[in-house]
Amino acid sequence: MTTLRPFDPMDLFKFNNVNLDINTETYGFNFYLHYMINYPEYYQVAEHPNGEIMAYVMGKIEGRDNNWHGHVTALSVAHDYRRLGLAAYMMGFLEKTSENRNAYFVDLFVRVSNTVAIELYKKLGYVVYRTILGYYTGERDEDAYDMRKSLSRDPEKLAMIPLNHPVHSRDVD
Amino acid sequence: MSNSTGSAKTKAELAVLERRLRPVYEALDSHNYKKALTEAEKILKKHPNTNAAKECHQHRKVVTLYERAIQIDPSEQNLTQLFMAYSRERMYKEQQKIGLRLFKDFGNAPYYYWSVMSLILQAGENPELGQKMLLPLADKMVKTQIEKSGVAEGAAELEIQLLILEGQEKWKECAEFVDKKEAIALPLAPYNLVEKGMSYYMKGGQYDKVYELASEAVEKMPDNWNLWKLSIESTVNRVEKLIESDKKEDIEEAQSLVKKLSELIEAVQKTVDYKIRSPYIAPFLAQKSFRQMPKKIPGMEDLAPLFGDYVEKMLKYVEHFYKKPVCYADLKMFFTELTEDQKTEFLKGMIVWIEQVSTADDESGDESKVWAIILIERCRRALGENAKRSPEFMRALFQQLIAQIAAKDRGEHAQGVLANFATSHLWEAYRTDNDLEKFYEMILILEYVVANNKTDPLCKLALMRAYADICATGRINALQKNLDIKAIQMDTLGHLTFPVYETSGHFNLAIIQNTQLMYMYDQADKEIQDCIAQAYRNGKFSAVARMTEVSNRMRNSVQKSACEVMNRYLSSLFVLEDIDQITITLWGEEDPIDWKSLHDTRDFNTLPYTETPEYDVLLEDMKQRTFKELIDISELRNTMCRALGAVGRITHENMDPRLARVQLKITVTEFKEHLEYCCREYPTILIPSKLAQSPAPQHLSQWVHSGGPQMILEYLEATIKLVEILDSGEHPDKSLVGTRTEMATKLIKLIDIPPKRTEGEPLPPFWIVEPIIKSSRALQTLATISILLQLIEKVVIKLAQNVPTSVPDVVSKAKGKKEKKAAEETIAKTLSECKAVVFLEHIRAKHVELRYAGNFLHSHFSQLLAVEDKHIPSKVGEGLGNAQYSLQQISPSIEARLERSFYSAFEDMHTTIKSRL
Repeated sequence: MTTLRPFDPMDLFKFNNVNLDINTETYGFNFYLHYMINYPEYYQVAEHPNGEIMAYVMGKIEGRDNNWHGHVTALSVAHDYRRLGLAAYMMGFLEKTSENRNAYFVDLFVRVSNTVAIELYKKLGYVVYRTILGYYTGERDEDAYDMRKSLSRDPEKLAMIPLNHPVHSRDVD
Repeated sequence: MSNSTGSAKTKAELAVLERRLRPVYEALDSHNYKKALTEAEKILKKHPNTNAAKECHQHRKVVTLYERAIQIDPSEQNLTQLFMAYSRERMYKEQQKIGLRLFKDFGNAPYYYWSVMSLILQAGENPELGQKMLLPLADKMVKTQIEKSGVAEGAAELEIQLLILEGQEKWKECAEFVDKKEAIALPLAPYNLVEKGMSYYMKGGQYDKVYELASEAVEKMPDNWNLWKLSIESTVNRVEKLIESDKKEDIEEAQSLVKKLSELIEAVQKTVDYKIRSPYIAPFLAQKSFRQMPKKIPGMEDLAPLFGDYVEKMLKYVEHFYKKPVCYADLKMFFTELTEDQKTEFLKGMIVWIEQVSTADDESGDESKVWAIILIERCRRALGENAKRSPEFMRALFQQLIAQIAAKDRGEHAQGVLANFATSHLWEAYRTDNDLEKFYEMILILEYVVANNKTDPLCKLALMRAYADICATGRINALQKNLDIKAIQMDTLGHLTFPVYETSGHFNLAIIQNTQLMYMYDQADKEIQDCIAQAYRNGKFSAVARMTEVSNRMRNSVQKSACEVMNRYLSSLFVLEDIDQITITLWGEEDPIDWKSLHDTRDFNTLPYTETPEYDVLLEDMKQRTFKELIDISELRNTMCRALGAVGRITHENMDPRLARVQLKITVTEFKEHLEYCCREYPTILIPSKLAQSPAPQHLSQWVHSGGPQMILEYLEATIKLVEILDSGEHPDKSLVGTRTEMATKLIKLIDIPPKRTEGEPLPPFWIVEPIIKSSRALQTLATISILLQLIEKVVIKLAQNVPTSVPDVVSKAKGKKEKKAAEETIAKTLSECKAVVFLEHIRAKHVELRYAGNFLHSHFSQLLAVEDKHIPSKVGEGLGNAQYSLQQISPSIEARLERSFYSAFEDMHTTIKSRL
């Protein structure tokens, strides 16, 4: 029971129920607004009929040639709205958007400790493509997994063939 | 706004000026406004004719600087920067002209649309003029441009056309516009575009069309709530229109529409079979919406045959969706529709249901039963059942909830929800009966969960809120850090901590926190403006208006103004040394704060458990009251600061003396009037809101009735008279500011902080909180008076003519009785010659009184810390069985933390006394 709508900057004043989650980062204004301006179709908010934000997904399309892909920048679901399949639903939306934009694959970065999310992405067909060393810095320094799922433009799933060695965050474009 | 240089300059002169202006532009480009201004000041000294407006804000100065710049160098870059500077200052008319100039001078089509966008923004500010003139003009401009040059900018042109149509409320045209093939280029996902079209049809009153589209789409996307909403709302609107007439065929048509809707719901339900929720919530919304119509549908007074029995449907919903934490939120929306009998029936049905659930076999890792318990208890609370239960029953329930919280392998999500729900009962006891034992039990339970549950943020938030009531700043700090509250959250959640460092006497911490907040606001403004500039450059016009709205909200955030004022106030009292700097800080910006235009950006929806029936009213009332109190206390601080600053400005060299005197009178009157207003509005009996969702208390009532602001007012009023006396060439009498004894009497009352003990009775739990708040406020008064006395001293020295600044120190040098007597006679003579000297000495002596008061205050601190009465309740967890033992076990460490917090408040205030009095 969801209304999926484009992100509105006024949402920033009421997304605490989502962003207080330990695995959700809160950024400065320019971060959210940059995505809203440049990738509005990738920035969707799920709203409950009572007006609360249930979840949001933000992403973008980037890369060149066969690296042209959709990227999930953030996906977060508020505690009270979990176990409804929202994350999968929003990922599906983002994948569809990337299909429309003729992308080869969709990728995302996730904390290696966030096992719940990793399992979910695996269920949705993503694989760990590589480990990125020292990707998360700040209060909780941590490595990330770069997880990928090929879209119909990559029928042989070349984008999903895992690298056999980790890379450092400074080497990730 | 454009300024003329006033004289024709030679090319060489302009070249020099241009070279000198370059660092200003560079600093502006990198948003280093301070540097830009420093550079500009340097230029102004060398080129006085480039007269930047000195009285304006920094950003206004930026506008002026670019206005100057384009006169010297009307390059594309400078004109663009001026356009953006106007945008920052909401000078849309001016930016419209610059947009056109850019277009004409450089021929780029996007600039043309910048100008059109400026018209749309002007229309937003003045809707009447917008409809009549601005939007039609914008429309004409776009059409002319397209006719002339064709569609060159793609989505940008489409966006701006749609914005014009929306502004003109031409909904039918909007809907047709997004239906066009080329609309796919709009920055929206295809699905969003479809929904946008439907919303236009809805606004345009084309309900048949909406129903047709929505009902067709909902069959493909049955869990899309918006589609259900549109299907229901469009039906309601059509029915409403039809039943306005009494014609039989209209009534029949209305009945058939309702029937059609019910059939749609039923048909979709059959296809989804409880796998998704929307089709099962839709009947509730349909019934609710039809019931809210002013006129009932003839022959369809009872909608149950079509949409089902409310209670029966709700129980079915519970049965299928109780394992989802969202189940309660879904149902809650429709509880207001239940009659008292239906509520009873629903709860009875739930009891039968939960008995079935509890008899089912347990499966490892399955928490269904816990979610069932949570759901039934939340429903009971929401439907007023708990109010009917005995205290003993509630205690037993609470004990069961604790057992559930502590159960082995309890999932963190369920544990957090249970803890918050369990503690909501305790918080209610604290709110309604000031039950401090339950309040402390709540702290213990929340601390237990926080220590054992890494992922739940709400227990931490609830703890922060609880600690704000008892000045436990140490723990608040740690929790805030742990929750990683930053960026926009510092504004929307700032109310959880905002005044607590000030009320607890941690003035430096308060200043640091406020400074961080002010930095965030500056940063936010800069970032939003950058993004607006980016949106203009990328032709993303629909984003411009929305971001401007966000920017307005941030600029006018009540939290921002409250922080800015408190920082000026506390920095002047406790940090700055130089009296001139203090004066400047106290006075603040030239433009007064428009208190009426402030926005409430505080987010009160994060802390849950607002189930009880009266909660909506309580929350709304709290929001309004605390918003008003935050404005009132900030305005009180501000008027006080301005009045003090005005005293300092009397002595400033570059102030017009007449203006300074007028400002002094006005600001003191403003302070007096606002203080009187606060005394009336906030009587002594008023206690801060104790709702769990409330902000940290401001204690305005305590402050305005402490006697402190009144003392400050007396000195301020005396200063007005003092200036008049000195201006007339007379010398003031020391009686103007009262005797030392009078001052001492008032100060004794002010620092009377120890709690009043009833003979033979122990002090109540948390008894130390009130003395901490009183001490902090007393210390603020002492520091304010100290600064005011210094300012008064400066006024006397500056305005009294031919006056020695001190009494000759002849007494200490005199030896023997004769010499001493002669010396005393000399002093008496000097004094009789010049009352101003006596007055000055009297003022200086008053500092001694302040020091005495400070020392007394400190001695009270020592006494308070030596009091043996415990800070926490003596009984914890009585009647809770095993849970009592667990709570008692963690209590000592919590008590020790609290004591450290209280001790550190007094320690900080002692340091302040030593350094500032």
